[in-house]
Amino acid sequence: MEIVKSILDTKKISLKEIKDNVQTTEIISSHNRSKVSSQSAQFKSLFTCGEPRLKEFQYDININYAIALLKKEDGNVNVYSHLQDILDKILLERPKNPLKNFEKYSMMVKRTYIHNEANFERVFVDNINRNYCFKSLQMHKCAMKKQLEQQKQYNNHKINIRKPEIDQHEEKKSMNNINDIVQVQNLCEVNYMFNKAGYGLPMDEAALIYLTMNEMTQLNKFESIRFWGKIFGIKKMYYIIECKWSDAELERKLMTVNSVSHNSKSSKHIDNEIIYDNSLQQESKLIDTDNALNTENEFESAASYIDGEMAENSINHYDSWISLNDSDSCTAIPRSSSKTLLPPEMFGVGANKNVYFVTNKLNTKWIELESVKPHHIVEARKIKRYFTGKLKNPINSFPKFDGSENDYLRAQIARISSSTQICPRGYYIIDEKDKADLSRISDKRSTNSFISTKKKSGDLIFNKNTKPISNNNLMNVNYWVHKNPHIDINGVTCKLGFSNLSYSKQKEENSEEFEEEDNLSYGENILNSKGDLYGNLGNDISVDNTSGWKGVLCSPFDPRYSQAIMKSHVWPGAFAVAYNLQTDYMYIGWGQKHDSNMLYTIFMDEIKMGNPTRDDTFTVEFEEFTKKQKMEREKYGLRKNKKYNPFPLQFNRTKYKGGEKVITYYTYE
Amino acid sequence: MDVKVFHCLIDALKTAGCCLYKDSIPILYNSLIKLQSENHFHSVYLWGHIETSSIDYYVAYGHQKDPIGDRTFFYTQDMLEWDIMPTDWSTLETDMVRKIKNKFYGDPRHVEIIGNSNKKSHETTEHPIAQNVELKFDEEGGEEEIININNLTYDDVVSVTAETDEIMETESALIGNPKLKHSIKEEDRLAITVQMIENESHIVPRGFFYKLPNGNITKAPYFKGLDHSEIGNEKNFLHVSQQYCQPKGLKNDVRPDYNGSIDFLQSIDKDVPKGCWASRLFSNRYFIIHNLLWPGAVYVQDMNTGMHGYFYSGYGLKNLDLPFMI
Repeated sequence: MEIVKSILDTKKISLKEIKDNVQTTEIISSHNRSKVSSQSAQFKSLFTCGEPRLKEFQYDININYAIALLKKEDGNVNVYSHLQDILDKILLERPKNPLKNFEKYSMMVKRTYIHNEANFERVFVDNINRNYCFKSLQMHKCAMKKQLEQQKQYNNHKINIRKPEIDQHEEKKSMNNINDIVQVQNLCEVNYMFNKAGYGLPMDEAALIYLTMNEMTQLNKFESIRFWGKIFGIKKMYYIIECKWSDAELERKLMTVNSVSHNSKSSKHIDNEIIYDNSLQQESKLIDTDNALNTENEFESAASYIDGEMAENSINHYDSWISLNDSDSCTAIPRSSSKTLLPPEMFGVGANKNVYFVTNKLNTKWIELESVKPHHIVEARKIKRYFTGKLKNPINSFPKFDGSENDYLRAQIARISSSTQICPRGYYIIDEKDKADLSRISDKRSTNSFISTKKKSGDLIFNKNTKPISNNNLMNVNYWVHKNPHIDINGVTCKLGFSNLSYSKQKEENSEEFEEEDNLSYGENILNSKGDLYGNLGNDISVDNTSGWKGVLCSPFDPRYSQAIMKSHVWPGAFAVAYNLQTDYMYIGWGQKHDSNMLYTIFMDEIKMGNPTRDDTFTVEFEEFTKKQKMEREKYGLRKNKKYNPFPLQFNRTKYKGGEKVITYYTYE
Repeated sequence: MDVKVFHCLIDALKTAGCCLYKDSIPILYNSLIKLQSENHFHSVYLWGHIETSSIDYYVAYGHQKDPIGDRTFFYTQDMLEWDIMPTDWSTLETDMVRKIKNKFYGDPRHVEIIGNSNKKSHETTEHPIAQNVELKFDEEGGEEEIININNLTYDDVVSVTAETDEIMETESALIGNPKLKHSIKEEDRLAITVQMIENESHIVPRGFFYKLPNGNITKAPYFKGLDHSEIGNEKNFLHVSQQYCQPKGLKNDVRPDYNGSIDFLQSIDKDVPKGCWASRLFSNRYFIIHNLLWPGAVYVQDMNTGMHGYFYSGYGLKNLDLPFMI
């Protein structure tokens, strides 16, 4: 106790001493300050004068400021307190030569502090976008909920019905009721093959897409759903789902279309709907999956659908969040001013057989693309542009494209699917039964009458009698056939069943390659058998006159159990995989056809015709000009435009921006 | 991309649209490790995959000490044995490579014959505009004669056209056996193409390479990849290729946080045509830059781990139409 006391005493003493010291220094400093302040006027002279004075000047430190500076460090330890502690220690121990061991003392004192600053735990600030994860999680959660609900219903059903033997059978039927109707691509299984093929989706993407597709089955609007692929854009990527309308849905659509085009004000209900649609048409049509997920009621109604109620109102119900452009095929006609444009093909026919949903982010809304118009396909063939990723972006291309990016996207999708969706020969057959309907529909369409027949034009069904083709043969392009009809030069599919195929072959088949038509000679090809649905792959050629496809084995080291891949050279990124009886295809790429020189040739032709936008392209081409050069060039361009007397008048008033620009120059001068 | 991070970045590559057969991944990995140990490389990189009409090429490179200067390129078709890539070629050959517009055949011994060079020059005189366009890109692609495009004005390009036409004519006049002169082995073509792609589209994040005071270049040991605030800026990505290695002569366009030991490479923000790099963040995790001039060249980075790499997967053809496509 005494010792402690003594220590305390000494501490007190030392503190006192320090305080005294400080006070004295303060006094000194204040003294000095007064001195200096009196002398401050003669600062210059002070500075230049001799050493003794300088020494005095060195004392001129505001001691309070100095103390504050020493105390500036945060935390409980700062230089001031540290010095205090050291002095304490020295005064306590009274060593012989404190200056010599000053550092040691400092170290020793320092060691006693708790090291707050040496804390290796980083403050957790991560840059991962958590919202994205939450959204995806939400999707999973909802899917889980839905699943549970179904399970419950199933169980309830089971309990209610007593007879176990028949019951199970029936149950299965009722449970699979939806899934029987809707063919959903088994993405997990297929993705395995795709991965083997080198493309394929990462796990997180696949999971989300799979969820979305499952959800779409609940809508009961589609007959089949599959993941079409991805298209890269400069800013964003498009994920695309390909769906086929179910018969009931198709019927409904056709009804609305026909009645509207027939007598536009006959039924108010439909009209309203269309107005609504039109207003939406300017924005893109959205399916907000989030909303959908959060509103459980809709799923309940979907669950009620399981019982087999084919209710019209349930379909209408879903319109609240799938707003579809039912009227688009009829609005398209007045919109397009010139009469030469072909009307788009009907829903469920040809290039519009399927409907496509796109999105930029998998956990947000999916947007339905309008059905493709033939002139878009024709125009899309002439241009070569990367997608930006924004659906509403205008396309500023030279051979003009009349529409925004969603039209372009749809046209490219149509082109790609018509030329790259393939299957091994004999795996699919055309559904012969419904073939008659096709002609009827096309007739009826012209007369704009009601169509209530079944629409399964040229449907393919899986051939149950087929035998798997050996891998060796699968590598051969001749064992693969096109699944979709080709789109001809006018941008419509040849509306011919299989019976007319041999005739059409020489003319319209492979119209994708119409640029190099002179090189083609389809006539002599022997493989025009019944198995070639819409043309054999052996007929396809790519730019440099080689085969348009390449067959690869996934693993060359184990050919027997490896998947065979067929890769397109015409559309890089398109591929199909086959293994035993499984086959599927996908597209992952930029949505551009591989063709060297093509753009140049077209360009040259157009330039010869006196292309007004030539100068525009040049400003893109070259580096920045100096202002003078620019002026000169503009003048030059104007003169030239005068000379050429620009371009057909119908270009002026339309959206053609390049032309407009030049025109304004022209008129202002 | 570095073989060490190869496995980790496969998902990112898939997202970027690169084609890598799943079954070939372990084989490639093993054979590259073997390549590294045989050649005593400091590290080995899988450079890319060039699609051909028959069997694809895989290209890899390794370096001993200098990660930029002394790189050795290899190629393979069977993924087991790596052949060294030819390194010296004439300017004539590079010219020829620029003219070839079709795919690789898939056989290194295949001889490509450019038959209609005369016809081509004829065509170009007919449409001088096209020639200009073409030329501009061609020159940029070359590694032998680096003409600084930035200095070219409209007139300059025209004069260049005229000259090349002359050269073409004289050449065609001089050559006794035009077939021999206008033929190129695919191996050489591959090497030249790879070099071109490498020069123009291989990029690294800023800070990855570190220049020591004695001039040696090393990989910065604690570089953790760019973070979210940095990936938006094109200035943070630097060309690797040798031609850009010279310090760019302190102009006024030096970045404000210039650091001599990091900024010794050329950044990509001045590349022509403007907008030839498309950078996106995919699936909330993978940062991917596509080079649109050489479709298939990608830079990928996993934002969570900071692992990054460069990969090429395509036909080895340049996209000459790019200015019209963006």
